[in-house]
Amino acid sequence: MSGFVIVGAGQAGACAASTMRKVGYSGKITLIGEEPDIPYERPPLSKGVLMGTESPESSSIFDRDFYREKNIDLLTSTSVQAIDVDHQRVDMGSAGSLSYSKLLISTGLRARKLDVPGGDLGGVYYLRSTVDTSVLSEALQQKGHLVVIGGGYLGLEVASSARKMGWKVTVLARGDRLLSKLPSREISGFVHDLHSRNGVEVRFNAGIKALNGNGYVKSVTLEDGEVVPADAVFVGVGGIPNIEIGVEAGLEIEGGIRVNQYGETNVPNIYAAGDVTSHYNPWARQYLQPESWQVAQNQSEIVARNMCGERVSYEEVPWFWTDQFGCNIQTTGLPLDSDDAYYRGEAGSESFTAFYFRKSQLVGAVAFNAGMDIRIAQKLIEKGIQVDPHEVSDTATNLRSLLKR
Amino acid sequence: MRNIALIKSGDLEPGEVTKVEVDGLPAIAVYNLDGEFFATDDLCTHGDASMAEGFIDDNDIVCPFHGGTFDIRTGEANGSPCLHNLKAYRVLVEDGIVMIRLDE
Ligand SMILES: Cc1cc2nc3c(=O)[nH]c(=O)nc-3n(C[C@H](O)[C@H](O)[C@H](O)COP(=O)(O)OP(=O)(O)OC[C@H]3O[C@@H](n4cnc5c(N)ncnc54)[C@H](O)[C@@H]3O)c2cc1C
Ligand code: FES
Repeated sequence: MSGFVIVGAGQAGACAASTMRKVGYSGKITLIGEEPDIPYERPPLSKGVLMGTESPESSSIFDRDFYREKNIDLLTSTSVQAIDVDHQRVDMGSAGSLSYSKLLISTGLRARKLDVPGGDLGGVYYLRSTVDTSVLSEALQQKGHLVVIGGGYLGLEVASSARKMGWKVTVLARGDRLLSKLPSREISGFVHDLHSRNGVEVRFNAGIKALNGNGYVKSVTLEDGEVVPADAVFVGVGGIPNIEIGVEAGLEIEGGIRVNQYGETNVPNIYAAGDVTSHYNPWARQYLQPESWQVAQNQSEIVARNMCGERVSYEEVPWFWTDQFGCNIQTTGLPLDSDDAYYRGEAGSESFTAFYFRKSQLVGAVAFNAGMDIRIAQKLIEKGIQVDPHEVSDTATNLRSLLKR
Repeated sequence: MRNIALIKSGDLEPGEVTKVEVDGLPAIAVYNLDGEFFATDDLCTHGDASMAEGFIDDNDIVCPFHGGTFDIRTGEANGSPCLHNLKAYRVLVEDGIVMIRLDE
């Protein structure tokens, strides 16, 4: 008996399975994942779970009973090795094979490895899974000097967590600013200030030449020859989409697995969702490949509905958050290439929001400890409501009231 | 049974929500929906966010953190990622004071 098969039991896979039941699909659903855990959310891994203030179990998306109650066959510690497109089957190696009427690929990303001499020494850590977190968390029980390679959100969150756990921390950023996906150098500067205030040293334009040590890392050599001592190294240099089974199956790849706004690939009956996709977003009028909780959660829901016979398009205005040193930073829209920022609240203070306009149209916002402003900005952008830069930056304006226009 | 006073009804505009701290209870969010008052726990059941910082969309409160929604009148979780209901309280308004009634 064939039914729906979902390869990759992460956030997107679990949300898709639950949605299929919610919209009334009563056929067979098999959710296959290579990790031993039931599906879980990853954001707490670099935050509360790493510091030990949240339990790993609290990040489970559903409890184990949920899958039983909803009659979802959850196969953990099981990896799909190949897709046989002609016979509509997935091959799970020693676990056998399974046929599908429709297939969803939600295999996510894996951490990109640092490709330099010494990259495989002990004391070099990555972070993607619960196993990675417990290994890193264990290592951080000692105190010393942590060198973080990468100035993206993951490196910075680990820097923040390690600092709070009593480590001296140095961040080596390849470019000339932190969080280079933020719309401007100025706003990246506020992130740098946050880290400086909390005792993190940041080096810019710091290319890595080698990691040194005898079995265990002792120092990092930069491209300019400088040697930075280290008791441990964390590498946060991005992810590589798990596309291999898709490539072999003849799926179109462009960074990730290419899907349209319905989540369809170029092969009939094969869909994809979450971090593994490069998906067309009609609102943005371009393909997007953010690594975000939002896409894993909401795109997968839409794709699951389409697999069940609906025809709905995923065209959400992008949204992302990160937590560092108790500061909640959120972004929405596509504010790149916009004009100057209009600040609501004092720029660089505890709580403020930067609004970005292009040709007098609101296109994005970034908030420090002002999540509410982002929710509203996202709605304003989504609905295309005309607002004036001076109006949104005036704290006397009630932003919620603008939504009623 | 015990009534606990939260706010003066005149202090909360229609379409607004506010947070009230009460001794011995978790923080409470009080809502004014077109003149009718409701109360739920303030802490989102999905994460560390305050409902009072969210915004009201028809009869729902939208969480400021991940945008999950709850029905203000019942506390029912009705929009992802929220799965668990918010505790909703019985509300009475007497002499311009908004109160909740606890059955204990
Ligand atoms: C540490 C960390 C912190 C984060 N913080 C934030 C944040 O603050 N804000 C935010 O918006 N986003 C954050 N993210 C991003 C967010 O967690 C991801 O975007 C999301 O997890 C993507 O979900 P997914 O289901 O697409 O992929 P995943 O959650 O990666 O799930 C994919 C699953 O598929 C499995 N798999 C892969 N190949 C196979 C195969 N062949 N057979 C079987 N199983 C397979 C994998 O093992 C994995 O379990 C964070 C991510 C990490 C790692
Ligand atoms: S914390 Fe409220 S939706 Fe996640």
